[in-house]
Amino acid sequence: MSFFQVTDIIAIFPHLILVSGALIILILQISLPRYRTESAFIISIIAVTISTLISIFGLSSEALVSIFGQGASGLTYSGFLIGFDKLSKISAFSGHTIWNAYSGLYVFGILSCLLLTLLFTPKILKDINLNLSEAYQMILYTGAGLLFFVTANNLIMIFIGLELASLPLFVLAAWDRKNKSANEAGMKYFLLGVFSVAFLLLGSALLYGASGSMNLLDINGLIEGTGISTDMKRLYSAGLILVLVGIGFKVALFPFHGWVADVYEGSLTIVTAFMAGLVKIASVSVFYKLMILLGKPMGEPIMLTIIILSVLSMFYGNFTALVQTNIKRMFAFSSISHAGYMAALFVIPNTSRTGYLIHAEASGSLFFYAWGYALGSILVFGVIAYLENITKKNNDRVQITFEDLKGLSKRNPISAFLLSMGSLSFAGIPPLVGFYGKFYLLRVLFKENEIFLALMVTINSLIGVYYYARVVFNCYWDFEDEKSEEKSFAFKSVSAWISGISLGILILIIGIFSDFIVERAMFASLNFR
Amino acid sequence: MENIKEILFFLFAFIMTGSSVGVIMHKNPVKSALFLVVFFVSLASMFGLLGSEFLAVLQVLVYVGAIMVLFLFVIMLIAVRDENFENIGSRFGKTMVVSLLITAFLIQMTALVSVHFKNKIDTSAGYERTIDASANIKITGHAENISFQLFEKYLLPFEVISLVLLVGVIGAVVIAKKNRRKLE
Repeated sequence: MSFFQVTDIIAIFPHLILVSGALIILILQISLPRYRTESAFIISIIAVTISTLISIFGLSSEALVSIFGQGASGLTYSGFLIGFDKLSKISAFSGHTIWNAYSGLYVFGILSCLLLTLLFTPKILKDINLNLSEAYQMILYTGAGLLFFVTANNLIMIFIGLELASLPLFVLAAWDRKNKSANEAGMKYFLLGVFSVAFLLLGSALLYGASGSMNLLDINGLIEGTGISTDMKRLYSAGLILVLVGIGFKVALFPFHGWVADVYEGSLTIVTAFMAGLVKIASVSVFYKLMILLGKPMGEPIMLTIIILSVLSMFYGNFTALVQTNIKRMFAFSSISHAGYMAALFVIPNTSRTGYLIHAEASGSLFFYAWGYALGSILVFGVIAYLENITKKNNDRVQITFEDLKGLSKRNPISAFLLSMGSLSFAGIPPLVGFYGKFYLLRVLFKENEIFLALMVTINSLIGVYYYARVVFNCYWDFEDEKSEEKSFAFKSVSAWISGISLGILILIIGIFSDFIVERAMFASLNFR
Repeated sequence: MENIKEILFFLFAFIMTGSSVGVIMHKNPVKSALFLVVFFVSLASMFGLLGSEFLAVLQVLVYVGAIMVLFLFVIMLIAVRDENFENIGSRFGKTMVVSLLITAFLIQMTALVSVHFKNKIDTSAGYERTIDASANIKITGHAENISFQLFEKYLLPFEVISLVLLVGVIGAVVIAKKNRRKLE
């Protein structure tokens, strides 16, 4: 008797590579007498690179047969570039996870961001003298948890994936435990994370009570078929709202944003990049999936709620970001406003007048926006992390303010260039990826006749330009009295150079291929169920 | 039979409520912990009443046997004394709480008896349903059934939960370790 088949393993192949990378690090660390932390970094890079390559190029059936034996014949594992249009789908572990193009899309998004963030990490940890190999294990577990989270087809797996993703992040946030603000950030993130998961769990229990199943596709089938009975409808609505609140905490939508500023500011900046880039892209995807699969019985009320949340997040994030002097805090608040922009697209699955294609288009532009945002925030927070190391005085971590940026283009031209490119991309300046994200987002909103939301997005983008441009202004304005400090290079490690430059190139040129990427994402979203 | 079951349910519910109030109200931490033991035992009896004996045994083994002993050890090690804590509520307040609980218990029992007499006269559908539900649970609560569910249908969540526990252990160690900077 076997408890699982080869297909089950194939469906969670990238997740398993990450987990086994982490376990190999653990075992080597215990068993090798001359173990060095560098090998942890190398192993984690290898694991993440392999799984990223798989998520990009997929695995053909021949490759699968050569890895798994004859049991895998006839299957293909579709990657971002190859095989999305074949509408392949693997439902694994009795429907707990599902491998289809939609989840594959976000697996690709998460893994690419994970790889780029991981490359920044080792030098920063070395500089604070805490380059322990547990950090890389934690990062790999976070990645695996997020992959379980986005491929989940079951409320239980959504919960467990989120836990596996956030537990290592609590640890990483408080990594520099002697630092007071890091300690505070870890504690705050932990308490609010646990608090939000309690909402998620209660909501799942109520959904189970109302529909009799934990499986998202089964619940969706119930809705599409007989529908939820009227006496169960209230229970169902309460459950769905609670689940969405739980995930809304991770997306950092407006009323659930309380933790964002302090946690982003306090924790190590590279950990902030993980939180802002990876967690956001994953939770946005699950939020959208839940809206499409389960949102239908809620109808108008939930649409109205999301419109309100979205608009409030935009305004709150932007207006609080306007008055910040600390750069990390400013980007933290601006991430709330970006969550608001993305939430504008959550309305689309519930509009009654739409067809199937507009769902795909909305989902495609959501992926593009989220991915572009994640790339931008990894670049920005990575650069800030290195700037912090340079301006560090008296062994105490200095928060970078706008004052510190003055004359940066002379002292540290590459950092200045990358930082201003990241923030211009956030602002939505044409050749960069952020502009195309906003363009596709607005196109969907206009097509869908959501003029109010489109107007709000436009107004808020304009407000955002002010504080994003302030970063560029401070970097490049010629300040006379800033000549005392010597020149310095941007990054002091090879891996960070690779990551920084490839991020810069990606942000610059992805816009040109945006049509291709959004089309891929649309294909993926046609393959939703 | 069902009659006794319901009376037992309310009895244990009463004990559970009372002991959990005791956990938070008592001045002495050791006695609070003992109240928690009482709570867990009566919770286990609840599981037994629902027909899942396996869960009841696990409840006693894990919570009473392992976790509560750990709690008591910790309390002993850090040597907290009752004078460190303020006395919550006056004697009068405590008497009020206990008497309110007892009144609630008596009201429950009378309600139960009266409902039961009514049911004796006409067996309503709702009453039948409760019996059915407990019969169903009796089958699924069996240890073999639980393990089949755990290792077949819920295999993946089960395995991933073990990863979550591993992360918890590693994270706790790495955050709490002394002299981390030297280990580099």
